[in-house]
Amino acid sequence: MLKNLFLCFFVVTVLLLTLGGRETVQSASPKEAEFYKGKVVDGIVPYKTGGGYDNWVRAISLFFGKYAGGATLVTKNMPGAGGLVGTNRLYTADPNGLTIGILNASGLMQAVLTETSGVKFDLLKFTWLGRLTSDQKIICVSPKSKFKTIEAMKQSTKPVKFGAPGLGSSMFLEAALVAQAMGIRIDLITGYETSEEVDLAIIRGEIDAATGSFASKIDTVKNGDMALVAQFGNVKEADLAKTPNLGDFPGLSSDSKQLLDLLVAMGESGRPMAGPPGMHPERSKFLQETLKKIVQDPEFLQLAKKQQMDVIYLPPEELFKIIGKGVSLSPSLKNRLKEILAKYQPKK
Amino acid sequence: MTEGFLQGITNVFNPTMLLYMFLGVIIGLIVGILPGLGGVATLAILLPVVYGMNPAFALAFLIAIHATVYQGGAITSILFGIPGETATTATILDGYPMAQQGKAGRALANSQVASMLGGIFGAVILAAFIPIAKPIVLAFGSPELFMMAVMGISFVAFLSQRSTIKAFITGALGLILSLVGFHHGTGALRYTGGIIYFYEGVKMVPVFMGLFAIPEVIEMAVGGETIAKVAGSDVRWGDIIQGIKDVFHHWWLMIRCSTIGTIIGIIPGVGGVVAQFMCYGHAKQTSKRAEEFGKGCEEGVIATQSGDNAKEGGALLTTLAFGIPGSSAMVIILGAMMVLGIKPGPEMITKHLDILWTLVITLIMSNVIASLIGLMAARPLARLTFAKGTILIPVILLLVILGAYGVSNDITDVFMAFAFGALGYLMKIYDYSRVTFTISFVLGDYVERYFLISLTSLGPGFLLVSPIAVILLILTILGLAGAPLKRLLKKSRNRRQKQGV
Repeated sequence: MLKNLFLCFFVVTVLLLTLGGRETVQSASPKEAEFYKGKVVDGIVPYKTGGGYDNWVRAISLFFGKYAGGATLVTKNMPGAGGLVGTNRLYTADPNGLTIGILNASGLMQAVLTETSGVKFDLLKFTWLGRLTSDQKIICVSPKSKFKTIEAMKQSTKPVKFGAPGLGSSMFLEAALVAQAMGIRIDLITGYETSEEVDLAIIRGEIDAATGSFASKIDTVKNGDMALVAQFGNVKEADLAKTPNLGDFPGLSSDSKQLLDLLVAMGESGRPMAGPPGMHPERSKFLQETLKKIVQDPEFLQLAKKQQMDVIYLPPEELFKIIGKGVSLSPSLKNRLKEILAKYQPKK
Repeated sequence: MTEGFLQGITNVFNPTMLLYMFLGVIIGLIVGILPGLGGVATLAILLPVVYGMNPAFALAFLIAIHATVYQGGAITSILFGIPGETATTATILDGYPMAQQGKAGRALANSQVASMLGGIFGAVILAAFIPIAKPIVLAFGSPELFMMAVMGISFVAFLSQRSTIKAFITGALGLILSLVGFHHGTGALRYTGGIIYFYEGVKMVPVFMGLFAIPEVIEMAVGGETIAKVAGSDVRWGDIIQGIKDVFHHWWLMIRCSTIGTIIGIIPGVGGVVAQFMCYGHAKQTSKRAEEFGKGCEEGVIATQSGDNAKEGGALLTTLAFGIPGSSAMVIILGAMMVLGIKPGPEMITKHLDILWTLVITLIMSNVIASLIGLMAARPLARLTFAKGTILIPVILLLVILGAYGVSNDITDVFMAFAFGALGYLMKIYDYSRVTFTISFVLGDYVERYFLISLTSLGPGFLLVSPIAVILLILTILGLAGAPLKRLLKKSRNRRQKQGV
C-alpha cells in the first residue's frame, strides 16, 4: 500500500513536470465507458519489470484512460516459470473485465505443444483482445564466422554451435526446428541466463550462431558486431530485404516445409493481450475496441516507434485462428516435434 | 575529446539539469531506503514518463536514480538489518553490528563515502576504457565466469567465523537451495516438490529478508531493547568524521573492491547481487583483522558499498560499447537512450562524445550529491537506533513484508521470508554462519551454469583455453592454501630459530 502511494506520488510529480494534463475521448459504448470510469484495471505482465513485455503494457497504460472512460491500467509484474506463473494467474482471474494481461503467445504455444509441466490453462479459452506485435525471426552469426550462409552451415563437417537460454526458450525450439528443416548438424549449447548473453557469446566466438528477433539485434547488426544469415517469418522488414528467407530455399521436403510453417505460425501469434476465459462480453468488446484505438493513436505510434516497438496489430478473431491452428497440430506432427526436441535435449 | 568533455560539463552544470539530477538522487535514495522497491522497477515505471523530456535531462534523471539507490539501501541495511536493496545485503554483515554497538553514525558515513568513491571509480573507468571497451568485455566468457564463481565460493572457507564444519554445512545447504528449479542445461525440474512457485528457483529477496532481518526483529522483541546496545543516545559529528576518515584510511581496499565491482558490472548476466559478496569475501580474505569481520568491522561496509556503486560504471561500459545491456537496469537505460535517439555502439565515441561525458559526469555528480545528503542525514538517522523496540518492531516488520511482497506481487514470497526468518533465527542462536549460506546460495547457480556451458561449447579442456581463467584458478588455490602455508612457514621458521638458538 505504502509502496503504491509512494509510486503514485512520484509518477504524478514527474507526469506534471513533463506531460501536463491528458484528455479522455468520448466512447462509442457509453454504458461500458461509465462502468470503467475511475476504475483500476490490472494489467498482468508475466515477466520482470523492464523487459519488452513490460514496456508494451506500460506504454499502453499511458493511453488507456484516454479511450477507456478514464480508467487506470496498472502494470502488475508476475514473473516466474518462464511466464507460466503470470499466465496461470490471468487464466484464473475474476472475469469481470478488471484484469487483463499481455501474453507470450508463441512461448505458450510451445509450452502447450511440448506439454511443459506448470501449464494450467487452455490457450483457446482466453478472451483475446488483440495482438500488439509479432517478431521477424533471424539467424545471426559473428561477422568473422565461417558460417555466413545456410549452405556453409549445411556443408560443415563439424556441428554448428547454436546457443540458447533454457530448454523451454523459443530460441531452443527455433534452433532445433531450423536445423531439422534445413538439414544442418548442430550442437545446442543451453544455459545462458539471457539472450543478451547469447549475443555476446557469439561475438566472442564461444558459439557460432543463434536465432532471435530482428528488432532486438538491429543495432548490433548495424554496428557490424553481428551478421545475418537468414530470416524466417511473415513480417516484411525493409532492413531484411537482402537476407534470404528459409521458406524460399529450393528443394525443401514436405516435412521441412511443415516444420517451417509451424515456426512461422508460432512467431505470428506474437504478443497479444487477453483476459481470463468467459470475460463479461460487453466489457470484452469495449476493451477490444479500446486496444484497437490505442494502437492507432498517432501519439502512441510515435512513442512505440521511438522505443523500437513495431505495432503489428491483429484483431482478436484472426489471432484466435492462428493460435487454434498452432495448438491443434495433427498427432503425427506433434510427435515429430517431440522427437526433434528430444534429439537436441542434453542427456539428463 | 576536450570539446566533448567541455560540452559534457556545460550540459551537466545547467540549472535545469542539476534540478533533474537532484530530483533523481532524492528518488534514488528513497527507493533505496524502501526494501522491495528496487532501482530497476522504479526506472521501468518512470521510463514512459520521461519520453517527452529533453534527452540529456531524461538520461541524467534516470542515471541519477539508478546510481544512488545503494546509498539509500545502505541506510536500511545498517540501521535495521533489512536489505534496503538486494545489493546491499552484505552491508548488513558489519553495518548492523556497528549500529548495535552504537556506531551507526560511523557506519553510515563509511557506507556513504565508500559508495561515492566507488561510484566515481566506476565512472572514471568508464571514461578511460570506453575506446577499448570491446576487448575488455569480450575477455570474460563462460570459462572465466565459471572460475570467478568458484573463487567466490572458495571464500566460504574464510567467512566461517569459528567452526569450519558449520561453515561447510551452511555452504552446502546454500548450494543445494541454489539448485532448486529448472536445470538450465537439461530442463529437468529439481527439488520443486511439484510446486510451481519453485520452478524458477528459490527467490533471493525473500531469503535475504528472512535470513537477515527477521532474526534481529525476534531478538529485539525478546530482549525488549533498542537496536544500539549501549547507554546514551547521542550521535556525535565526531563519529561521522571518523567514518569518513576510515574510508581514506582503507583506500587501497576501496580501490580493489571498486575494481571487482567494475569487472562484475562489465559482465552481463552476473547480477549485482554477486559483487557485494565477492567484495566482502575478498576484504575478509585479505584483512589483517579478519576475525573482527561480522562483528562490526568498518572494512566490511567499505568493501561492499564501494563494489556496489563501482559496478554501474562497468555495466554502462558494456551497454555503451555494444548496445548490449550489462544488467536489467541497463536494459531500461538502453531503452531510454533509444527513445531519446541515442545509438550506443561505436557512434558513442565518434558522434556522441558529449553524451558520453554527460553520462560520466552525471554518474560522478549524482554519487557526490547522494552521499552528501546521506552524510548530512546520518546523525538524525543514526539516532533511530536508540529508539525503543516497541516502536521500531512494527515498522521493521512492515518493511520486511512490503519488501518481500513487492518484488513480484506474490504473497507466497512473504511466507517464504518468514520461513527463512525462522531458519535464520535458528542459525543465529546456534552460531551457523548466514554469510556462507548466502554466498553459496547466490553463486551455486553460476558455477553450475557456466561449467556446463563451457564444457559443451569448448570441451573438457576449457580452462586451459583462457589465460584469465587460469590466473583466477591460481589465485583461488593460493587463497585457499595461503593461510595453511603461512602457518607452515611460521612453524619451520620458529623451528629454525630454535635450532639456531
